[in-house]
Amino acid sequence: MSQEKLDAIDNCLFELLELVENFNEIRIKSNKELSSGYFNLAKSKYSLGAGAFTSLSYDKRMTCGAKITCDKIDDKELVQFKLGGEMYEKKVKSTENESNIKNRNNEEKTEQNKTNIEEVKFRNPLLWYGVLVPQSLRSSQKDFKNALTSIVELTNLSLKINEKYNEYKELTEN
Amino acid sequence: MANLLRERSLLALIGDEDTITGLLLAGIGHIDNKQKSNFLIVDSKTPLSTIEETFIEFTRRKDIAIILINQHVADMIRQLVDDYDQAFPSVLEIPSKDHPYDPAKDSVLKRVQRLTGDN
Repeated sequence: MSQEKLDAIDNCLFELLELVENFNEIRIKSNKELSSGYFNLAKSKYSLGAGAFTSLSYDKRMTCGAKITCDKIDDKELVQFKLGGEMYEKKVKSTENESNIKNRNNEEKTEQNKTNIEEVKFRNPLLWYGVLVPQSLRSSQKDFKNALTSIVELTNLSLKINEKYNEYKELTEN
Repeated sequence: MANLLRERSLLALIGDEDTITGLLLAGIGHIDNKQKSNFLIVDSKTPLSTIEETFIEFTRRKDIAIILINQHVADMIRQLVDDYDQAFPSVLEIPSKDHPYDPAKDSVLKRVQRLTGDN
């Protein structure tokens, strides 16, 4: 086996181990966020009663507020996931609202606005449990949201690990 | 290929009630017009065949990008999870409240361990 090939194998293995290290770091972070989420959920169960948190309280018309988009990295087959959706995108104040206030008599625009409101079907899952929910439930939601962001990062890393794994296998087999 | 990827926008989840409740709070829950959900609650009474069928169904669905599964549930269908090698949807194991994460059982790390000869 030539020296160049040996170097390529070494580099590939080095990159693979680096990815695994990242994977472990993010795994520890996500596990902490999840355990904090479970703890806060248990606190909410204590204050609202265990019966409040069964599958019966789920909204049967729920729509997802966490959407995944798949981005393809140039010149590679590798695809990366990105977390988006109503719950994860920061709301930007639109300048259209201001113009609507100024032109209140303009009916067309207000009609357009109404249809936009109807299109948004997503309801925050916190509202399944009432309007005045315990603070611990809000904290729990925050923890699970953070955990979900880490989980998507983990999935991206696992895809990269699998790709490197296949690359390493090809290099060693030939 | 790009169009197929664009359709994949959901996260699916197989796990216990606490994990499902938590991640539904995070906004992953989706029930479509045909009342098909993207999650399965597993308890002590759930038959193994239901878990297997749901896992296979989620892997075949075109709108799912990532499948999350509790590690203790993945242990029940370990052969299926370990044999699954498709990139889409990706499968990731997560810990549950009662069962802490064990890196030795993780299917991603297991592959690397096998490669480096640790196992």
